[in-house]
Amino acid sequence: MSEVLPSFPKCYKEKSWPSLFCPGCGHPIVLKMLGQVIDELAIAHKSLLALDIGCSLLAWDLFDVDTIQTHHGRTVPLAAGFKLAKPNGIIIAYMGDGGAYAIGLQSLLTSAHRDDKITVIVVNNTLYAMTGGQYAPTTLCDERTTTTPEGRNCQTAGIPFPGPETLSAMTTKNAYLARGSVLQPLVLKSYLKKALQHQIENRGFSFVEALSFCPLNWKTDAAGSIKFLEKMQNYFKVGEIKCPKISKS
Amino acid sequence: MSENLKILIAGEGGQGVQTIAEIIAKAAFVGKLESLHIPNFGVEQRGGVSLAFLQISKSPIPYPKFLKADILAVLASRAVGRVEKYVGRQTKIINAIHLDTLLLERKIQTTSLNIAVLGNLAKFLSQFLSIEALEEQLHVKLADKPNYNENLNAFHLGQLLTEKDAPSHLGYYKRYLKPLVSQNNHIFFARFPYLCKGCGLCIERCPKNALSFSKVDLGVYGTPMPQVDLDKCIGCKICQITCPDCAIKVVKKQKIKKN
Repeated sequence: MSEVLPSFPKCYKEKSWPSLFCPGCGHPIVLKMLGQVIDELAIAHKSLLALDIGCSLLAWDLFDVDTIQTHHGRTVPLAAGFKLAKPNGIIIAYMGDGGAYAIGLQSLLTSAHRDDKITVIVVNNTLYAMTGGQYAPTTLCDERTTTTPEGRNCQTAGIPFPGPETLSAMTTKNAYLARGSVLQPLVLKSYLKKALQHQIENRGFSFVEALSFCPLNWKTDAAGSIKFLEKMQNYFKVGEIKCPKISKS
Repeated sequence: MSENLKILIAGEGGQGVQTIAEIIAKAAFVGKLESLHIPNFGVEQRGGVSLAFLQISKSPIPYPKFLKADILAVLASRAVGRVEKYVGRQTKIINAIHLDTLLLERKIQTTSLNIAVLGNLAKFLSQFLSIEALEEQLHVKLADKPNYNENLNAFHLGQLLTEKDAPSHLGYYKRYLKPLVSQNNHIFFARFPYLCKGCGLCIERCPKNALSFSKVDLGVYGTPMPQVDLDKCIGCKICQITCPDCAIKVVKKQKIKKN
């Protein structure tokens, strides 16, 4: 066998690897699946990847795809604006749960309500990872973070925020909403592919939430991370929340 | 060669990169030359990359940094990625990555690898430093050590190295470090130390418990890499799919299986 090279997706920028993500982070798994989907759909030349503030911005320069960095939580309005200006372009808004469900929730809800033809990918790791693991809307009940040292009290702080379920109440039947997990990367990949196809065929709003690891702030090893993610999956149910039927005519 | 000689020595922590740089710098200083040695410290105690930036000149040295080295000595494969950018057209490369086998043949322990490289460097330094001057500083620095004679042998061996022992190019290592390949009739399993961060997700996700942490191979952060037991491996590629940094590649050799 001649030179053996890593199995990177074609749209990866090889120079930028190894990435800046921590060992055991779930982000690169989501990005790898996204890269494979971009390859399979052959949309790298007309795509724009919009990154939010937080750990998601470390995906900067990892792709050989046009990339833009937005203010915290403002990725979705930027994506909507891009789509208005360039209806044939493909926009992928890539953000964390803090950006999507806390500071950027209003933008996300409005955009979903308007049924903008954009794709939003939210990586949910139950906390604000980049700033040191503070409590976020998605923090599980009784989960310890740096700002909830005795665990999140769900009686006073509310339940962990169910993103796609909330959006399903206020979107039309055209929207595609799903939740995947990095424990099943290929299933996640199929959701990402459906979401991007949804946008390519201009059918409506598409949204994928990916449950992901944060071993640094969970303070877990590989086995502990997988165990924690399985616990997360008990609350955040994995699957397609809204999948419009496609008539073949 | 210019009046100002820029030398870059790169290796792993514990190989003695800074030791030989110190010996050269001190020999130059004693020989009334200008000399400057800047060690690049990192996590080398944990097995990271260690670099020594060294300049020798007959006139005052204007600036401690340099863009391209005149001489580059590489002692460990993992250091290659860090020093590639210092290679210019004029750079003379001493690639001592596989020198340890030659040393073992001559019954010299691999801990003397750095001294062998010093011996090889001596021939490039002849314009500035005599071999005797280097040997004198070697004596000052290492005479108390129990393996001093072995080091002296390595120093003399280093002067006689040929192109075959220490190639003057970086070869395969140009972009990716050579993958660690293990294979049998059914499965081809490649691991990339340049990409592996040692998170251990592949080990946890393996359905057949075929993966475990290696006691020898290290990844990009100096953490242990996984190794595969090919007898247990079924080639399901779950590790390849799970690996966040694409550090594993599995190929199932189906053609052979059909026969």
